Amino acid sequence: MAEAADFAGIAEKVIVIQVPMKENGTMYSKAEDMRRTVVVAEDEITNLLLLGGILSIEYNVLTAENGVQALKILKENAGRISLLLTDLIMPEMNGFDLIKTVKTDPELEKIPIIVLSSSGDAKTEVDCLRYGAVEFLPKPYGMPATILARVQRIIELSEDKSIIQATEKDLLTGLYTNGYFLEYALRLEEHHHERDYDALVLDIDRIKTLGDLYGEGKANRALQLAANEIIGYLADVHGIGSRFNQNTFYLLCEHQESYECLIQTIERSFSALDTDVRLSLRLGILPHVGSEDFSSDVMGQFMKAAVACSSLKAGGPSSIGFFDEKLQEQNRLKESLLKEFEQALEQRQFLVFYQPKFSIEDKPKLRSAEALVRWIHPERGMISPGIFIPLLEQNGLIQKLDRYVWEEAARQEAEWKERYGISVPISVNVSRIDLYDPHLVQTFRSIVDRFKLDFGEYLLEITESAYSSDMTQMLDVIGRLKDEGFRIEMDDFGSGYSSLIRLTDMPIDVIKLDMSFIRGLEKDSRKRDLVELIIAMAKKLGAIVVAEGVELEEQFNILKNFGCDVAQGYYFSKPVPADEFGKFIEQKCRQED
Amino acid sequence: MLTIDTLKAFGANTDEGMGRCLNNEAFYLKLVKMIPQDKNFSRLYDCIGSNDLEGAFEAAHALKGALGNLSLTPIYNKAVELTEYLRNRTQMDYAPLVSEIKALHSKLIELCSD
Repeated sequence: MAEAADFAGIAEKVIVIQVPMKENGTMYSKAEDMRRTVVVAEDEITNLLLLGGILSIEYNVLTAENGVQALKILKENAGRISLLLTDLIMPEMNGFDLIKTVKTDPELEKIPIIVLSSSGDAKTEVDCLRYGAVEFLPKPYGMPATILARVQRIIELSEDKSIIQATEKDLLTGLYTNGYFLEYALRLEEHHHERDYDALVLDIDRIKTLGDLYGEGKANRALQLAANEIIGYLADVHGIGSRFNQNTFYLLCEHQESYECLIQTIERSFSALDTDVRLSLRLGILPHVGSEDFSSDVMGQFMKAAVACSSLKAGGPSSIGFFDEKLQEQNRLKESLLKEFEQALEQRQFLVFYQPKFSIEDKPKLRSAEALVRWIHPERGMISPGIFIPLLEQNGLIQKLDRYVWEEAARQEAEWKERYGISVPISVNVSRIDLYDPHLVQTFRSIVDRFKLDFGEYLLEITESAYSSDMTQMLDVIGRLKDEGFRIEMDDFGSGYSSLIRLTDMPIDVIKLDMSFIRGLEKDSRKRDLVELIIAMAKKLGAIVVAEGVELEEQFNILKNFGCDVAQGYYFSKPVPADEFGKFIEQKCRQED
Repeated sequence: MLTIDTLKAFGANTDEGMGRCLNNEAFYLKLVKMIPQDKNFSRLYDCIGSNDLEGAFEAAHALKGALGNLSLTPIYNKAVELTEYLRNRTQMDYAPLVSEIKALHSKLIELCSD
């Protein structure tokens, strides 16, 4: 038996305390917590000592004289072994059997294996690789520095692989995570130029509702069900997929003529959820992804599919949409509008227009006006509010624009009062998001104070859909605005979900009937019945009723018969710039003289 | 007494062997001293004697690795030669080759004895 002193000072880092000849499994060197542990299986004692000595410079070394001992050591230290180095010809259990056993043991299979072999036998090497070895160290060994470098590299590669395996898949669904998906998508396309690929973006709608009603577990279950179907589908179409965010999946697969079956399979799988929340799918497709486009901007291709997806109506039945250049054009427009917004605000490209509201009587009188913002772009001309308002809402910029309009309308109101000596109340729109601003009441208060306006001259229009999202919050804010003295108009009444019953809970001064009630009113008797009922009810509650979108005399007359108070619409005037609105005020002045 | 010089005289490539032993002379000499007692020598002789070519191959193969690692060139070269014959289970008279190995083995025993 060799003695400890024989190994002392092999190198400065080696502190050999025990000799492994008879004590297989003991360490060559003192255990240092941060050092990785490797196992050497070798029956030839000089080789074992030599290799162990070299490795102990960098690693804790456990040694075994045959496969059986090696396996025992591996099992006892499962999870702590960074590498196995094994000879092939050993008594009791040879190296081949050891490799096979390790690679089929779930606890050990991830340990990389280096085979210590005499060079020159290609068949043996191929067999070892086939069984799962990753590298060979030929005998006679190379110089220590070479061995250490090779061992270090194998360990690092293996650890990197483990990290990759732990992070490449989404834990919930088993689909790839974003970064890995994009990387693998790129490689898949690169390696199969001959294939024709489609980029897909799939959204599941109402997952959030499902989660809110039945808990997160149910929502997660829905995502898993969908993911299982997606994984199964992708296997048949040479595809890969990722869960890109909460309820959005990105897929790349060989071109298909139709994706109806994917949609149907996923929808069918949802029946296992046993819920009355009807989840629906939106699938946006960029067909025939171009190789060059893909390699230069992989994310850009999926963004196109995402554009196609977001162009589909959310919340409706499942639908499929294809990307086209028109969508892309719209998207580019949106992007540039967003970029230009701040500058446009500074350059006063946003103008406030005013649409008059008239009393409904034989000789209608100007009652008030609604302030409506218009974007007069120096190059693109007038941009529809239908485009830029939802865009600013989605991107958190609407509050900035609202504040601009609130100030501008108040300033205009003050100017008119000064010039004409009479006041025409102006109403401004309050976005849903504004209601979450804790300083909202203070902001309005300071505006009316600054421009010396009465509360009756400056009205606040709050859209109906704002009420249905978070009732308590809304009622609280509205209550505080009312306490302050402001008058509240409920905008777009009837467009959302609020019921007539709900009106009784709300301290509303004015109800603005959504224009959808007025459109075709003269032709639709059911609509007329409904409008009559709403007006009667609103009046019972003491609210003033304003009809929006009045375009025809017949509509005006019907509303007059029902007792509606005020009308706004093209029948009187479209929204006009401030200076043009002056003529309405002048007319009113003449009427009152 | 075993020294680097006596090993050199034996024909060993001591620079190479020492290099594998991290240039630690004591470690190198200690490992070399373990060679004469290597059980694979007796196993080789026994197997050759009983015409067990498989056993002989395993023993020769193992010796080859150990001798090569310590760069004991003359006896390593013979072990390589023998291993290749045995790998193919060549039916031949192994006695002359084994005798040469035995002679070098004896020489090593002599060098290693104090």
